[in-house]
Amino acid sequence: MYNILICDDDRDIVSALDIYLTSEGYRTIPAYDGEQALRAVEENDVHLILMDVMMPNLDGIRATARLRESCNVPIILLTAKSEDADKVLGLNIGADDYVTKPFNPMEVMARVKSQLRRYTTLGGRAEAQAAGDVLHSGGIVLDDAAKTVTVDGEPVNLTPIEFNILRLLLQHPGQVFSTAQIYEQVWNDPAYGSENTVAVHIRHIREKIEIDPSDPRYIKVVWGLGYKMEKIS
Amino acid sequence: MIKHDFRDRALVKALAVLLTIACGVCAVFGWIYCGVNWDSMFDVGDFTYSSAWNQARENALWRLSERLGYEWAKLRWGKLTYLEEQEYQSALYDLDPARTNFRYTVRDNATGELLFSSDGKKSLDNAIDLRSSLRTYDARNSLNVEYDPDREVYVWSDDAGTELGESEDSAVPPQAVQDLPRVAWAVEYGVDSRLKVDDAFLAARNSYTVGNVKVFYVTAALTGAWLILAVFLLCCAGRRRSADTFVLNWQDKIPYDLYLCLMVGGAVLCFAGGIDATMEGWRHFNGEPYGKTLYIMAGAMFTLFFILVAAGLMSTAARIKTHTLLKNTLLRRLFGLLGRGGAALGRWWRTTFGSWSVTNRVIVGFLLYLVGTVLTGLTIVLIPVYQGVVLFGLCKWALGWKAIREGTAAIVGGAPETVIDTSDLDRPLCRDLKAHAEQLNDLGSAINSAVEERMRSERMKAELITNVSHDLKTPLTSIINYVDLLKKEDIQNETAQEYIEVLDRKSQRLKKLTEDLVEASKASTGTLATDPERIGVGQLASQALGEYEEKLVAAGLTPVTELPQEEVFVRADGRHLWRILDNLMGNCVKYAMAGTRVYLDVVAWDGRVTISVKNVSAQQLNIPAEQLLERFVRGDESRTTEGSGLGLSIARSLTELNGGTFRLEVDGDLFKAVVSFPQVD
Repeated sequence: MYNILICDDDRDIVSALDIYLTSEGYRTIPAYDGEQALRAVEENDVHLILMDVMMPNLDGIRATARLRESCNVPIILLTAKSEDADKVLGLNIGADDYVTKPFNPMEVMARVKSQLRRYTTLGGRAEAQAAGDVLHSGGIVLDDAAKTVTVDGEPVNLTPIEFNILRLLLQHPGQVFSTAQIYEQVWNDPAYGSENTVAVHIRHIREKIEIDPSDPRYIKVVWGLGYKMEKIS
Repeated sequence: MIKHDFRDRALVKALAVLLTIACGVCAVFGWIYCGVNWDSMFDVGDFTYSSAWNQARENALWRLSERLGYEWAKLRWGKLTYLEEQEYQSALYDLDPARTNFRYTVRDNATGELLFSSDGKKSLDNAIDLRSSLRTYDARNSLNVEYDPDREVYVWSDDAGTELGESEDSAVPPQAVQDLPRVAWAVEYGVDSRLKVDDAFLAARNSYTVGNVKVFYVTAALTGAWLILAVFLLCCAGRRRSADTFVLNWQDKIPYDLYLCLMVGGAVLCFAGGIDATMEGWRHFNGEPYGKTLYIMAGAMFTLFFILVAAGLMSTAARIKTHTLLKNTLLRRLFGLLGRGGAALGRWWRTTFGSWSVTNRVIVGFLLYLVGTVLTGLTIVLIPVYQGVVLFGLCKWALGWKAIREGTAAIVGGAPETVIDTSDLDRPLCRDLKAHAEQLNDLGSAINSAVEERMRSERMKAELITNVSHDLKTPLTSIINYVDLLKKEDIQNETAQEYIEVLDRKSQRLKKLTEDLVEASKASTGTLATDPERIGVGQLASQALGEYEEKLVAAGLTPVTELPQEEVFVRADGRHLWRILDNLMGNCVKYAMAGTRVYLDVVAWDGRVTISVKNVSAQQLNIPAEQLLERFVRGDESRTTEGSGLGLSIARSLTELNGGTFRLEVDGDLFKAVVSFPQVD
């Protein structure tokens, strides 16, 4: 039973999220501005916070900064601002993830689950690492020996080609691979106009491991250059 | 405001004027008297000390010297030449006691023997003013000594050429020389006290008068009084009891230069006339009735002189006090007239010259320059000066022109706020340039304000769109969420479910629309930041196709790609390029006819990389390509299909933002979008 703080000045949004989260079996605590949120965190044992950015009295960015002084509970920002600068600011100030309004309820649920899994099962990673032949980045764990991939603890089914591509990217986090390079390394054949295939496979992988495939967290598309695995410790 | 005191009383002034005139006239007469009697005024002697007496004695003594000279000549040479004899007789004639009161005796200084005299030994019996002197004549003073080297002797001769002898030592003359005559004459002279003869001495005694020194003191006192009175008059000038400021009278209003000429001229004439009359009366008619008349005339003239002097001084003082000394002059009026005439001429010239066309002005200017050249050519000194001045003017003109060119270049080059400095152009030659520069400045400021206005309105538009979208997003979130919740409700009514489906679709479209709207406004106003990188276009096309593979298949479309063998690169923001391709491919998926092929070509040619997307439209494209680029315009007028109508507009804005060109071609149902960027290595 996790306690989730929902903080938004729009009461309808709070109650809608309340319905979704309650139906998933979470307990929710509503708050309608930043100060209420801070008080609620003090009074309750909160496991995750959904926080709007633009609120009266104390906005989401400031509230996040204040919260980060004392606790490391996951914070997902809900924001109508979609500019990159705002996202970067939110993440830098200490938020763990963000969802832009108008959001898809399913996406919010997925992100909530993802954050909660990572927050509550931190020990799981250490076991996997001990086994060796295990690659990981953020919530992705790839066990080369068992040929299994989990995302935030959830097993993911990948085809062998997809598995090989993901393994290649995980072996070199942060390095950009062009489609031709990926093709040559995974298929062991020279690439002659077969790059589209790689792009299609990568899209499939993204759809399987990312919550929002068009705004990926792990496998980033570097347009015009290739793909890379984001380096997340 | 001036202080009122006794100085502005008319009576005081009149009295002072009268007094100055009186003092002045008396002083002048006094000074004339002093001048005439200056010799005797401070002396204690008699007439023999007067200058006239001295002059007469000097003249007589000079005649005596002449006579003695000839006497010696007779002694030395034994005879006189004819002309010398004439002079000798003339001197004797002048020294004759019947003709002069001068008396003299000449004696041998050694023996006392009387040699010459006026009338014997008794010459000096009745003489006064006795004086004496010694005169010596020595023939040895005029000898020639020549050395004869052959005989080694000195040859002596007198100035007549007669050889006198020889000696072996130049310091020891021969005997003949030592025998030459020499004389020493004691001269005593004086004037017969009886003065029986009418000569210069008698005239000197007769003209001798003893000046009274008291006259001098009185005259000096009068002069001092006159000076004080004159200063007082200067103080009084211009004051009037009835006025609070200095005022001018009728004579002060006469132009000063004219006034001064008249006054000085009149004063000089009066003064000279007065002096002349006085001297005439004193010299020739002293004591006679006519002499008195002359004195009265002189007095009148001096009175007039001092009236003029007093008037002139007072007028000058009054003019200085009212600051009209130099203003009220004929010369100034003349210069004023000349200046006005010159200014009028200048105005006429400017208006006439200025109204001509530029061509005429150039021609006339050149002709004037030629005339100047010819005229200055007459004087060689003026040629460099004149040509230098012309060159200087041309250089000034060229500099002004340069400033205008630079200013224009700046305005055209994207800085319409530039203002050309016209302060240097305010000279006759540069009037056209100045007008030109001012017009350019107006043009620049008009462009500037137009650009600023446009920028401001665009920014406001973008801001408005962003704000509105943000405000739309919050309620939209609720709509989407509650529609989703509705869908999860167990609703049996099929119609209601159908309605919910519509709500779901439309709310999703609204979401897409708000997102696109913000992006479109940002891209078109250029507020979007670009992060240019070296982008492989082939790679990008592959990635894009990879992203769209399934969507194309789902829409029944077959992608056909043609990529260059070697990777080609452009410099642009990768995410923006992807967005462009995303929008173009999205268009294909939305609007292309099912079962057709979609062509994605990348061509590098002539330094540019061109990406073209071609597809066959499902609907008839009955609008021109340009219009498709307008915001909210879609190929289907009915707007039943999904899409905001902003895709192409965003694509074009992003292309231009990254320095590329975007072109649409519509040929029947064939739709072609061409994006082109400069190729980089």
